[in-house]
Amino acid sequence: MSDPYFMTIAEASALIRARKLSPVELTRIFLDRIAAYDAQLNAYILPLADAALAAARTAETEIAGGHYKGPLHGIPIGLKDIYNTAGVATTGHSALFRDHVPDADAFTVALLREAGTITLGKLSTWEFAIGGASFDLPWPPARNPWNTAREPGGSSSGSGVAVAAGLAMAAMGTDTGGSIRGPASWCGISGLKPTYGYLSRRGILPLSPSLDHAGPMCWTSEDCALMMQVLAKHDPLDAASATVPPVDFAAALGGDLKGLRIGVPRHFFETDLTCEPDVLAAFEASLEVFRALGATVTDVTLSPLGLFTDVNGLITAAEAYAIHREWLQKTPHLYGERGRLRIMAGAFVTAADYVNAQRERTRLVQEVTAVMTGCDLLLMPTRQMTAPELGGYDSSAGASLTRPFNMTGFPALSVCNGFDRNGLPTSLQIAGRPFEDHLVLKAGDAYEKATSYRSARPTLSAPAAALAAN
Amino acid sequence: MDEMTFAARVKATGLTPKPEDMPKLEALVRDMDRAAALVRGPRSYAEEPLSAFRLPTPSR
Repeated sequence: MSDPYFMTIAEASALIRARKLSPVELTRIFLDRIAAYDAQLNAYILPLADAALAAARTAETEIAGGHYKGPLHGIPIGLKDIYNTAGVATTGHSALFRDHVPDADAFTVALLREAGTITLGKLSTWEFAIGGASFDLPWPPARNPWNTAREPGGSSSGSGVAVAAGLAMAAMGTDTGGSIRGPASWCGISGLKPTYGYLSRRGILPLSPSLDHAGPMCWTSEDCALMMQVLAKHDPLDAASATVPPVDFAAALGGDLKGLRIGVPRHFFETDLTCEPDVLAAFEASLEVFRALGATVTDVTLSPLGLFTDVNGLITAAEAYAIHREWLQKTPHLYGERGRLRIMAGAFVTAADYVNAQRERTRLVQEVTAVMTGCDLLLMPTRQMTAPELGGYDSSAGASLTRPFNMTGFPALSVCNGFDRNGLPTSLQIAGRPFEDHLVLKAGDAYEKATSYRSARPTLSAPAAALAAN
Repeated sequence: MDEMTFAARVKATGLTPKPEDMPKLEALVRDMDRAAALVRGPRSYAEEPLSAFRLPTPSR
């Protein structure tokens, strides 16, 4: 058996089901590891040790009584701290919401609890899921476990860190412009931004309701599929929640990729922005893996990446400001600088520009839909660079490879596709057609199983050494 | 964007950013103005915004 904290959900659930692994012992192992190592990573805002152990005991009793619920039963997870949790503070990593204690769980949190997951705690985020790593908030920013001087990415920073470092077996993130896939990229894990409407947004602090997506972040695509199995449920109280027939995400995995048609919008990362050489090399090597698995690869052309990025930025700013205007006018001092300024900028987007941005978005959706009649998936790097220095990344600057799929709502997955010369993860983004998330996950799973990158984990400093360094 | 014009725009929003916030805010707004220019210009009146809402179909 590998170290329990580095097991995947697929591995751990088989042992739990066979009663060879105790959910209580597994939860204790994670809580001990959080206590020992999180001081150097800041993944957690609020560990929930007592509640986690109580939930683990319940799971253990249920399983012992023959009431095994499925692959998430007894699995320890973390929640980005913009997911409402009944009776437990949900802060958005902000002083403004320091005392915000919701009455009810987010819809997705309730689904995860019903499936028997164990909530280890609430995870760091960029303030209200925007801005960047900040040092002027009530809690410090999360740090990349591959190099703690580097960015983990955001805004689901704690989620990416916790999964990569073995401080949670899975986590929930959200993604408005790349906030699941960005930290998945820089932390070297798998993160799925599902199709818009597949997962309920109800009970998650909103940033930009027409672009916000909830989604799973795990070590593997297979684990993301196991999470989707539970999470992809219609929510009648979320206006954007889709009503689509249920899909067996786990059953869709496996087999080869013969006949799969892959489109590569090469101009996105060769001319519309500049990629680091190691990122480009890893991408080209990834295409060879897909060819070897039976896929065909063709270049495709879309609108310039900058257009997707800019229109996404306009919509995000306008919608975020609409939510935060009263607080920003009355209590701007309760925000950190980066979140405050990014959201304030939305005050300057006119109503006509916002509506025209949404009209342009319609055109972009039609364009990508038309291109994807000729291919099943789009592949590109997730980020043009590996993790930069902590605090040095400005998510508002330059074109973004992730935003096109918030604009269109199409599903997009980030998987690790190697390491750069400094040992930092590189990443591959796999996008698909609406509600073909299972195909995106199948491709990610096939890629991960055809390569060896899932066997490397970050090495953390010994707890005592980390404390001395602080 | 000249300083006075931007200060007047800020005042119109009802926001009271710190003086030291102003240069960074102005840079962000300049970028937002550039992005907004991309979505202006001639369009067919028939172009729908993506946010046009859909009512659920009645169950029968």
